[in-house]
Amino acid sequence: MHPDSTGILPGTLDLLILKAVSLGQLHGYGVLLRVQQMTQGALLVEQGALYPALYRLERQGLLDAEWGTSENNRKAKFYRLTTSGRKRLREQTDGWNRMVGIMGTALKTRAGEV
Amino acid sequence: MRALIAAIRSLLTCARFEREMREELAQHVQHRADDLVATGMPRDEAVRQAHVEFGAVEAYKEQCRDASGFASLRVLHGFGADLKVASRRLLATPMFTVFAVLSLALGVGVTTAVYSSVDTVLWKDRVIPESDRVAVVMGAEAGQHAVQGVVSVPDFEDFRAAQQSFTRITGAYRIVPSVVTPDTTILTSGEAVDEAYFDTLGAGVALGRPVQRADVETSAPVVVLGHWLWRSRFAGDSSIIGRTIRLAGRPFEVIGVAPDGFQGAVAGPRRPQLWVPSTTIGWFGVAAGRTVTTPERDRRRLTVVGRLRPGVTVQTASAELGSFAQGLDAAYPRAPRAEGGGPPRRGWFAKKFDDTDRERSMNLTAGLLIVGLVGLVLVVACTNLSNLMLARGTMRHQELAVRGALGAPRWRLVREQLAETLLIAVLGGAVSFVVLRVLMTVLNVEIPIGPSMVVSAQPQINAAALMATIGALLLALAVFGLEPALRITGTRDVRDVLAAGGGSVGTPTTKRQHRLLRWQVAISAGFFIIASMSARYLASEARHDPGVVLDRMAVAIVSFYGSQWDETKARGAVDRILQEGARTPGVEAVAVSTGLPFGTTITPSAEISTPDKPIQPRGEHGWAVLMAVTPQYFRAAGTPLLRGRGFDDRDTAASQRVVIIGESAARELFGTSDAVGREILLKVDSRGYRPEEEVRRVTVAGVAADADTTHYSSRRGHTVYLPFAQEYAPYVTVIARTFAPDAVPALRQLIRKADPDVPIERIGTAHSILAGPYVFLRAAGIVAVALGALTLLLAMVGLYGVQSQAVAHRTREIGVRMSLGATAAQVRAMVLKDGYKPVLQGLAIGLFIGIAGRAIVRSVMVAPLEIVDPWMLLVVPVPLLFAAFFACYLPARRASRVDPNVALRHL
Repeated sequence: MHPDSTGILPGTLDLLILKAVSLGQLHGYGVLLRVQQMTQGALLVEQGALYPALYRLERQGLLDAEWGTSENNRKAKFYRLTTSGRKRLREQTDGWNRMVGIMGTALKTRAGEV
Repeated sequence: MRALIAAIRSLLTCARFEREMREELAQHVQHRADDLVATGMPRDEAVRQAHVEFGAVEAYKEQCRDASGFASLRVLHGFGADLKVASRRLLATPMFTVFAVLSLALGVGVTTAVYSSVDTVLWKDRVIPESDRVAVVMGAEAGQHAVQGVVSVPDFEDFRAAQQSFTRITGAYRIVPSVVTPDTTILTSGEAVDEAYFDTLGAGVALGRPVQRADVETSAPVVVLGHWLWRSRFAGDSSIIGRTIRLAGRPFEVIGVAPDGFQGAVAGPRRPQLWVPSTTIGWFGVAAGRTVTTPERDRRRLTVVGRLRPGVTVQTASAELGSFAQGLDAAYPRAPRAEGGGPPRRGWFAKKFDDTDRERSMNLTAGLLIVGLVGLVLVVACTNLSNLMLARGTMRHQELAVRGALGAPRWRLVREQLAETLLIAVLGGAVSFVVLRVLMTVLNVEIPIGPSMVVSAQPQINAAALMATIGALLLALAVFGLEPALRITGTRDVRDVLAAGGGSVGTPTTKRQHRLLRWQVAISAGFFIIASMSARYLASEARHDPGVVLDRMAVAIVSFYGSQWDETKARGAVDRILQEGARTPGVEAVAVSTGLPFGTTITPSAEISTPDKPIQPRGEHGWAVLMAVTPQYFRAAGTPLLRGRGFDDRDTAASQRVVIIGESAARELFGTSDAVGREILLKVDSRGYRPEEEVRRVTVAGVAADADTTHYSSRRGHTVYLPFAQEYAPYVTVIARTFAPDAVPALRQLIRKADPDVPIERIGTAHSILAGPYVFLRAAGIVAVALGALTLLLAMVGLYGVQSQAVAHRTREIGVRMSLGATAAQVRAMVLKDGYKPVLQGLAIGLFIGIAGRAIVRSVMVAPLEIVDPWMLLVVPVPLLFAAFFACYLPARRASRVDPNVALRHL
């Protein structure tokens, strides 16, 4: 674990997973590595916590899964983004960016500007 | 149907989901471990680290199920997964599984099979509903003997009209008619009954209808067949209703078949096997042509049976009977010259139907004894199972505690345990079914259970017994299997459990196990002591020579009583049988005799003496079994002739009266001098066939080897053989010796070919007819030895399990001891001593059980066996102690090899 890692914001894990999977199909452990890579290890995800999120997304039809063989020559379940998953990723990314913009603006506000 | 398919489909989906989820999570851990290994970490350390990083796997699984929408079916699919885990766990400990399943299977199988056969063979009278409410009218015979069949018809009618004690009352005559069956003519027992008979006993009929009022009023020639007779002689053919069979030489229409096990109201060695209307009694007269002069009131021939009115006790009924009989005594005193010289008083009283018959009550005792023994097996199986489950539960203390601490919900842990229990139960059930089937096949034989009674055992599995047995074992399984899981998961703080994990002596579980173990050893020792009784008997039996070679020999008991037979006709039939025997290939010898030295109740006896000494009153000396035999007898019976000649064609009715005497008779009468050619005196007790008792003077023609007399393995009397040509009795035995092992079919066929009208009363192997109760005893002995060995094995497995587990539990303590200087030998001794304590205590208790058991066995069995036998006290504990040594030594050795360094690291 990264020494400076912080807990993940509620609701952001799903978005991170969708993003990670959107870059190419991944198995569960792969998703974990990709998320750590993407966040430079700054976000702390307990490994097991990944799976309830993956199952939830699969159930919502955002992810598609099939069994295959991993690069370590082990059996693994590979996740892929579905069309609706891609759409959801876009919406959520837009939403997140808007939120970041709003929050950023809001937090930059100084006393005289109001 | 559709719902069912949907349910199955969703169950399968669940199972698949569960499988894939496990696989996926496991693979995650492996991937992580692979990466850690790549950084240079050792593999097992890497796997451990990967598990830790993954987090609380059970909790995440639950979340996964929730997330995937399988939560609603969690209980079901979760249980499937539990079963899988349980089966893996059982496979991982094959010894535990095998012994648990075996305990269960043998417990259920043996107990149910034995109970079922006892039930069908010995306790069949229960076809009479509320038989404890049925009373039999008894009367005083000369002396104090109480007998049935003591009420005359007018007395019965008077009492029936006046009585207050019974709701229904019936009177039945005993008849002994010959029955023509498809095979042969047999002589069987029956009753001539009134219309109230079947109602009073309440057993009804299995087929057709009972004897009814119209039948009695019109003296209809109709008959209800006994179930056994119908099954064994008429092939259980249901179309027999309405057909005509010949009874005592007359045609009778079959109107019904009595229920299985119904044995009528008349007690005695020969159970009634058919029922006719009472008004046909005249056709079953004992001797044709004899005119009856006895007044009607003195012809006391009815057995009277009544069903007690609610609230009336047997004592009340007795009182009513007694006072009514006194009134009759005053009104109709017995005629001075009454036939048979019976008592003048009627002396009626009532007795419970269940208590009337010694054989029935003896069977009840024997049955209870067997059921008791089998119950002990069940107890051992239960304790064993409990012990195994307890041991297993204790082993899992830590695992359960840790998993509980990691977030596995309590009900989940308990459910897993439940799954394991269920699996064992199902496996045990399957195996016990096999055991049961095998035992039922083995037990489906003819079992001789008394000197004159063979029961064809066709045991049917007793559902109640099966349920009770399964229930007992499942209870043991559930209580001792689930209890540890419940208790441990109930503990709040995992640290308590982990701290106690190193364990020390005297944990409650260990104490309880030792207590269970003590009883197991006690029961198995008790069993062995009882079993040793029969082992002893079997050994003496193997050495015993009864004087008749029972192998390859068949015996048929034939009765020429009845109006259609007289001496000339009977002799004609005998000649035809002998000729047929001489013609039949495969038959070594056939002979006819008026009885056999032992095992038959029909053989008369005689007092013997030499002409210079008067005949002594009957005592221990000078008494002999008297048999009239045809020439081939000695060959057929396998009794060798030692001196002189055998019987042959020279011995006719007109020739000199000769005898062949047994060796011991020759020695007693003539000492060392040769008996052949000398004269002896015979005073024949012909059992009333010849009214006068005569003293005969006869010449000894030969001396034969001795044989047992009266009973198998009893030599109280001598043997005397007369030529059949010079002596006749209407009750004879036909014996055949064949070259093939089973002589019965040959004998049966031979008699039928010679004369199909010959009434065979019983036919069977010499073993079953002559040594019947001993065959039963031997079978019981073998069963006892087998059960004893089984319980011993179970107890030793239990001991081994408990000791191993105790040692595993005490590793830390032993480590401390050894690091403080205890030697390996001291540790071994400590563990051995610990294991031996319950064994020795159990042995002491077992000794009492065994001796009590022997006392009970002795009271039921006829064989001369001692209750306390020093030999048994010496031999029984040895295998037990030996086995216990092994059971304790292996764990002890393991304990002595504990490395203190390793043991203390776990501190």
